[in-house]
Amino acid sequence: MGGESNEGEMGFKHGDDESGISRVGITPMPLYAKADPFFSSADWDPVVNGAGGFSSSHYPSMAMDNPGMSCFSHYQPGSGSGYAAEMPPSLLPFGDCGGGQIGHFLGSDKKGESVGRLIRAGESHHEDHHQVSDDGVLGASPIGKRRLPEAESQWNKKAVEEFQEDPQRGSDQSQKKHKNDQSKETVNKESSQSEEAPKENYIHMRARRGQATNSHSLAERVRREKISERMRLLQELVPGCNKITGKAVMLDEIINYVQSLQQQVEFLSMKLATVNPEINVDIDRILAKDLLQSRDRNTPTLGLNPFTGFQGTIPNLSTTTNPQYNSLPQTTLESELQNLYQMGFVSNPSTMSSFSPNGRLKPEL
Amino acid sequence: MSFIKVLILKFSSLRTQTMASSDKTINTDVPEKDVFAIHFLQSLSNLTTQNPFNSPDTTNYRARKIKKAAYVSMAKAAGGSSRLWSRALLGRAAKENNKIVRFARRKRKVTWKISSKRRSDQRAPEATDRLRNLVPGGGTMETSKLMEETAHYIKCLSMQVKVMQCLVDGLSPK
Repeated sequence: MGGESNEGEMGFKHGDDESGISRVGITPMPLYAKADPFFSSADWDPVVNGAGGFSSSHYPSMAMDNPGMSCFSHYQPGSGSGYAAEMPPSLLPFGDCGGGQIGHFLGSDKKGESVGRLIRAGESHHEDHHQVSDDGVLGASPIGKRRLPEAESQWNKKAVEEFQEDPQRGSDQSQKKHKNDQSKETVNKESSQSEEAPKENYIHMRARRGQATNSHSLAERVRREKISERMRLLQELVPGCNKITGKAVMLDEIINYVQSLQQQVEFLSMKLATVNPEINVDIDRILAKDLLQSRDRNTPTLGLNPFTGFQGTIPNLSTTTNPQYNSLPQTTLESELQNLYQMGFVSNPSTMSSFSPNGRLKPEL
Repeated sequence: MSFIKVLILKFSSLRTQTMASSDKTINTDVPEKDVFAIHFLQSLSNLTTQNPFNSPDTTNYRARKIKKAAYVSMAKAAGGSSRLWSRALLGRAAKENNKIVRFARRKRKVTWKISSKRRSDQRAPEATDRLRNLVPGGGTMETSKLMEETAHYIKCLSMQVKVMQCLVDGLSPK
């Protein structure tokens, strides 16, 4: 069912890791939409998916128990914990698509043995940070564990394992999961689950099947994923960058935004400088007014009642400065106000009442 | 008095700590607007106390001073030395004033610094290099750390811009 076209697309995606981000990110979606009627594309994050990449060449190499299962071979590894909620419903379509072969995959698995062997074989060349001996645990974790199933049976076993294992895992798997999601191409959730058990300060990465198990490339992958994770963060910060997928374009946008912000600061400081002649008085007034306002809203514990009548005498700032600093939460300024008052205000009420250009806040501020 | 400043800074740092973190692994919270406002106003009042009221300063000179004060106050408001960029900013400002600023040495994690220097050729100014030039203190950071600092820097910059905008609106003659 469209295996050929899918293969072609897979080959297309098997490009450079870095440059393939945008391609990988964009194309898998429609694949899924076609293959999985229940796949909810709600929180698919194309940017992150491409960071690890995957080797498409392994799809045909793995024995497929059910040719009808080819639709699952293009199930992309999801990344990030956003897919947590999607796992349970999305596992069902596999049963449907497979024509019932995995209809009972949640229960006892006939193919468990063969799958187990396959998995053991697949795992044999992995670094073993973890205990592979989670044989007995047939669980499938729905949370954020998407693997490219090279065989439906493998997928079944993995899914089953994860379901059972999931409740045992701690909640803060996000980072490890994120790494693990892209760490393996095969449905190797069991090992990834066990990998998370010994949670260490740094993330254990597993080599992807068919990729170099070089420590350097592993480290590279970790680093790349970190960077893409932060890029996502930045994407939310910069306005209007939701549609951009791709590191280069995103970086340009970020740079433009930072530059524009800095230019704004410069422009505003120039504006403030032109306003300057009144700035001496006004700043003091703003500060005093601000503090006075805040104080008024609080209990007058500071004994500054003589200042309340002062507010009316402040000329044009009474209306202009109020709206801005009205939003200041009272609790935040309270202790600061108290300190300021104790030092600067209470000691010399006479200077405050005058508010001449020289009557500014004491320098100890 | 430094006593006041210490208390105020302690208070503002307290506020940053108590704020809920939006991101699970990366914390890029900035204090509220008022913290920025207070720092900025204080620095401005310091600025005006230094110069006589009716000094014949050119607008450009004043503008530059105000800009510097804005950045310094932003760095202070954003959490003094808990961010690389703020430390770099404050260090840079102190150097300009011929002052020496010392920060407590923070424990540095040993990370893989797979920097871009492994490529032999000098690449054209890449986007990350441009970003390093923009963000203060970004010259010797890992790329992932650079991203984190950029995020925090962007948040603080936008907050500072808002504060300054409010100030300008308030002070502009009606």
